[in-house]
This record gives sequence, structure tokens and C-alpha cells, in this order.
Amino acid sequence: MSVYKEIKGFKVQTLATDTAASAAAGGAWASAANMNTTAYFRGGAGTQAAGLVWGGTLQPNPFTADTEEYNGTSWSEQNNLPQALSFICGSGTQTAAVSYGGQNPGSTIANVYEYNGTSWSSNPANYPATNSSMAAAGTATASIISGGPPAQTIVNTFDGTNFTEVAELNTGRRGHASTGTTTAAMVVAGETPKTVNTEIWNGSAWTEVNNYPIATQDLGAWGTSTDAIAGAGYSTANTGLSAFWDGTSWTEVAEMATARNGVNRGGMGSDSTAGIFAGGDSGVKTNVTEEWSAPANFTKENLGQVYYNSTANAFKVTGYAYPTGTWASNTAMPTATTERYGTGNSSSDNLIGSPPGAAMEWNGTSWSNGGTVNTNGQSGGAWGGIASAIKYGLAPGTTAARTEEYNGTAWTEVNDLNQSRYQIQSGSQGSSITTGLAVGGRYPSPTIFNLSEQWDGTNWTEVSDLNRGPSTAMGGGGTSGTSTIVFGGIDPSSPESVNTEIWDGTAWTEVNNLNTGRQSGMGFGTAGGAGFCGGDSPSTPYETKTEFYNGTSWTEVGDLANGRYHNKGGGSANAALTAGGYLASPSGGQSTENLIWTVDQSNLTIAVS
Amino acid sequence: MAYKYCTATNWGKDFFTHEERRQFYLSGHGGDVWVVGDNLYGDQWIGKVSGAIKSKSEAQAIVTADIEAAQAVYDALSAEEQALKSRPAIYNLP
Repeated sequence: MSVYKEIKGFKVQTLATDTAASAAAGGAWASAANMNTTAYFRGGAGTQAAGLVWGGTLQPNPFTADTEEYNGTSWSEQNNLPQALSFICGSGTQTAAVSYGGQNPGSTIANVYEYNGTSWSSNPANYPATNSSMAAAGTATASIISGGPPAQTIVNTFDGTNFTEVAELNTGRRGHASTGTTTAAMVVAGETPKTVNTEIWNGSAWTEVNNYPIATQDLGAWGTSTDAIAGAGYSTANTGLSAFWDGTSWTEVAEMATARNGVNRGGMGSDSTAGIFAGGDSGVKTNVTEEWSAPANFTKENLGQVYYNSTANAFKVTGYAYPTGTWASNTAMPTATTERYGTGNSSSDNLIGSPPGAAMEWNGTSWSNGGTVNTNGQSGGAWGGIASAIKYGLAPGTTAARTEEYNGTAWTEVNDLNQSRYQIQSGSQGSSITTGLAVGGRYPSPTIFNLSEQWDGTNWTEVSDLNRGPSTAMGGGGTSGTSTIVFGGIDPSSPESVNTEIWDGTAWTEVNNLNTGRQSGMGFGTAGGAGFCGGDSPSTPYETKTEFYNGTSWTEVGDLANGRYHNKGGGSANAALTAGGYLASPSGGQSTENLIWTVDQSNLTIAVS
Repeated sequence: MAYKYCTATNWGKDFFTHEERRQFYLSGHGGDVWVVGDNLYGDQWIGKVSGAIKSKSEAQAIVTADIEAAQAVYDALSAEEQALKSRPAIYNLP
């Protein structure tokens, strides 16, 4: 007897929780026992199972000497500090902690106090200067203490007896957070002014590394220099944002329920799997405690994986959540550019033409010289990236037929288009320079062509015409000369067309229209998933809209912050760059702006009928 | 995303759990105001914590009053103390 699922079905893994990019990505915050004392900017030390807080500011503003221990379940009162203090910081464990400086009701102090698990005592050594709002990490006998108001760069280590001044921070700060040890530490964020800056310490020098997700002051953190959680703080308002540090970059993780600043100043946690933030100021001082827990075991997120979430009772697939894609600004180009050519395979592999004729390479971090084209001009087409690319059709004159190849260093002329033209579709078509398509265009203006030519690595060959008729200034995308999509542009239907057509290597097929017709925007992606940003639309010559084509229809997704047309670039549907163009603000200005399109992976629910 | 609004006092441990945080949106605000994702799990949580349902405008009024009180405290601080923190700003609930 045949079994239906063997004929038509396939097995789907059942998981109790969603897949995750990392253990931290699968983590969440839960409420824990409230502290007995409602306060913010308390010293902190220890772990989630054995934590310690002391001092702080009560509501509305008096300081306290109160000390509490946390055993993973509840808080218990302990012997008080020798004096009421706030804006302190701490390091160590529940049974061996140190409190550095801070403010008492009358002044800023340099006192150092030690906790032995039972009571506090004064250490004979004072911090080298009166100071407050510092950050500390390490143990009671090997700590590293940094910063202070308004933006001090000073750093000291403490061996339990003596302070030793070491190399200064690159960026001074107060109200920052610190994790790690005296030989491998990390500092993050703080003010003044509020910063996203992160630095790591290797025992001898500080190095700036990738930024925290938001500029914030008075945040908390715990962990090491390669595995830490930071969260809370005050940016433009109190925040509950928290993020995971893997030694290289920050990734936002689950948000705390109560946005607040001034949580415990000194970590209560060893790594990104567990820790707590206690107290803070959410507008008023609070005694709430939130407990972070990341699963020890998790199922690694894999793009395209289908599974059944038995808790949520939903079939899911790991994919790109295109509607949530956003444009973010990045390092400006060295030269303003419009109407040249642009291409790219991602948001870190792009080539943009400049008015003087030099191409600009973008590697995701910085711009560099991409060689000078032999034939300079406007409104060309291109595909490829910084390792190899091809560009063609640059106005004006008969040189519009010229085609050039880029080998990562220099441009070389190859065989011309059969028909001179410019304003050929704008958008990348994959990384191979031996296959691609040049569609539409004009020459001399106002003559517009209904013409497609296919490149085989050596020659251009004319193939079938578009269905829509003569067209120019379209956006486009694709993977090769046998899989291409074009959209928008100028055609017989409109100077801001909504038409979309897909080339399958043999013929053009009309598919669903754009929502907003436009010409001279930038396309990216492929026929299975394409984007179109900016352009000249019926309502404005400086369109901000981005639309995404999912293989069936177009949907509006994240806008550009500043409208533009004749912007250039390219990339994939989930990672692209658009650069330059004529801007809405300042009106008509030529832009050096470099905007990066990013779509995050997500576990998407599959509709089951 | 649709939300519900309620007031409830955070009693600490298990007021909200890791599992609940994964099941619905939850954010806490001044005046014990909670913004809760409007789904089955969010409804169950409001019941668990005996939340008093508020309209959005009622919840906003509570939060705004709470922030205004905090602003008054901040304004009474010395310049040196004010330099160490930011003045609470009134914001809109989602």
C-alpha cells in the first residue's frame, strides 16, 4: 500500500523553539526577584547565581550604603558600605569584590572599599584621583578601571594593593561599561558625548573595534572581551536594547522589558549565557531585576531550513524578511557622482563610476581607486564587482557603443555594442563578466530603442525585443544573460513606467507592475528577488521609495532617507549599495552619499492552507 | 503590531518568564504601565499578573505623569549632579 507522505510529502524537523544564529540570539530576559532597595547606579560584582550590589542613588535622590547579595533566587541584606555612595563601579565576585571611587553626598571620592563576603573594609590604596562614573572589570586582585566624567581617557589596573596607570583609551568616556580582565578587556559606549565606540585591550594597548548598536550612556555589561552581553542605558531616552559581543561585532538580542539606565555598575555574569541587570532609573528609580538566559543547546539557523515550531504551532522557514530591510548611511564616496555607472555583487563589493573617469571601489569598509576607464561619459550600464566588471554604453557620441572590462586593476576595451546607446538598464547582473544583457537605451536623444543585446564574453548579439516597446532609463537586475529583470523607465506607456519584464534566455515576459512608476532609479537583485530604489516618479523627481519584487509582485519596503535619481550601485536582494545621484535635499545636489541596504535573516511563518 | 495596555506591579521572579518574552511583545514603563502584544499569550499574561486594562490614552497619561515627576526631581538636582545624567524626556507609548 502506498503511503501518501512518501509520494507527496517530506519530513520536517519539529523544534520546541525557533532556530537561532547563536546561543545569544536565542536568549531572553525574564523578571527576577526585585532588590530590597530601590536604587540606581549601584556597584555590582559576581554572577547570576551569586551576585552583589552596593550603594547607589535612592528615589528621589539621596545616596545609600545598602548592600545586597543575590543567590539566583532572592536578594538578602548584608552589611552596609562604610559610607553612602553612588556613581561607583565595581569588580570581583560576591565573596571578593572591590568598589572604586564614586560620589558621597558632598563630594567625589577616591576611596577603595573591599567586600569579603561578609563586610566592607577600606583598602589602604586610594584610586589615583577622585573620580566617579568609571567602569571596571576583572577580579578583586586583578582589575582594570577606566574613564570618568566628563570624558576621561585614563585607565588604571589594580592588583589588590596598588594602582598602575596603563595606556589610555582612544575615546574618553564616562557612564560606559567594561568586561574582561587586565590582559583582555573591552569597554563600550558611554559619554560625553554619547558614543557607540567600542575598544578592546590586549594588555598593552586599546584598539577601536566595531561599534555598539546605539550611542548610549549609563549602560551595563558582563562577560569577557570575546563573549559579553551589554544592555540598558540612556540614548535619546531610556533603552532596553541589549546586544551580544562575540569579540568582533555586536548583535542585537532580545530587548529587556523595562527600559532604564544606571543598572549595576560592574557585571553580574561570566559570559553571554547568563547574567542579570539590577535596579536602574526608568524615569524613577527602580528595584526590578531582569535575568538573561541563553540556551546551552540551540539549533543553528540555516537559510532555507523548514521546520515545525511545536510551541508556536507553526511551520516556519528561515529566510530574509525583505519587508524589514533598511537603508543605512556608510562612508561617503571620495567624489560626488551622478549618471555614471555602478554595479556590485553585494553591499561590500561595488564599483561606482565618477565624473573624472576614475572608478571607485567599495569593499564594505572603505573606498579605493578602481582604475580609470578609457572612454568616459554618462549613463552607462555595468555588472560585476571589484574583482572583475564590465561597463558599456556611456554618452555622448558614437563612443556610446564602447564596452570595457575591468580586471580588478585596469580597464581594457573589448568589442562594442552593435548599437550605440546610453541609459541602458541600471543594475547588476551577477559576478560573471562573460554573460549579461544590455536592454533599451537612447541615442541620439530622443531616439529610444526597443533593443536587447546579449554578451557572451566576447561579442554582443541582438536578441528578442521587450514587449513594452522602446524603453530607456530602466532599473534592472539578474544573474546572467539568460536571467534578467527590467522595470520602470521611459516607454510608450509613460515617462515613469510601471512595467516589469523578465528575460529567461529566450523571450521577455511581462509580469506584475511596480506600485510607483519611475525612471532613472537603481535596480538590484535578481528576477527571483529584486529591488528598485529612488528614481524620478510622477509625484517627485527625487523618489524615496524602495520596492521589492518577490518573484511574483512588488511591495513597498524601507525608504531612502533622502530622495534621489540617477543613483548607481547594485548588489543582491538582501545586501546592496546605492551611491550618489541628484538629491532632494539639497535640491538637485550631486551626492557623495553611500547607502547600504540590509535585510536580516528571520524565521518566517509559512501560511498553511 | 497591535498592543494592549495594563498596569501591574512587578513582583519580581516569574512576573514574566523567558518563555513569555519569546511569545509576545512586552515593555514596562513608569507608573507600572505595561504594553503587551495583543495575542493569546499576551492575554494570558495579563490575567496571570492581574493586570488592570487601560486604554492607550489612559496608559499614556500615567506614563507622562510619571515622567513629569521625574523631570521635577531632575530639575532640583545641582548642576554637577545633572551633568551625570540626562533629563527624563516624555515619549509616546507604541
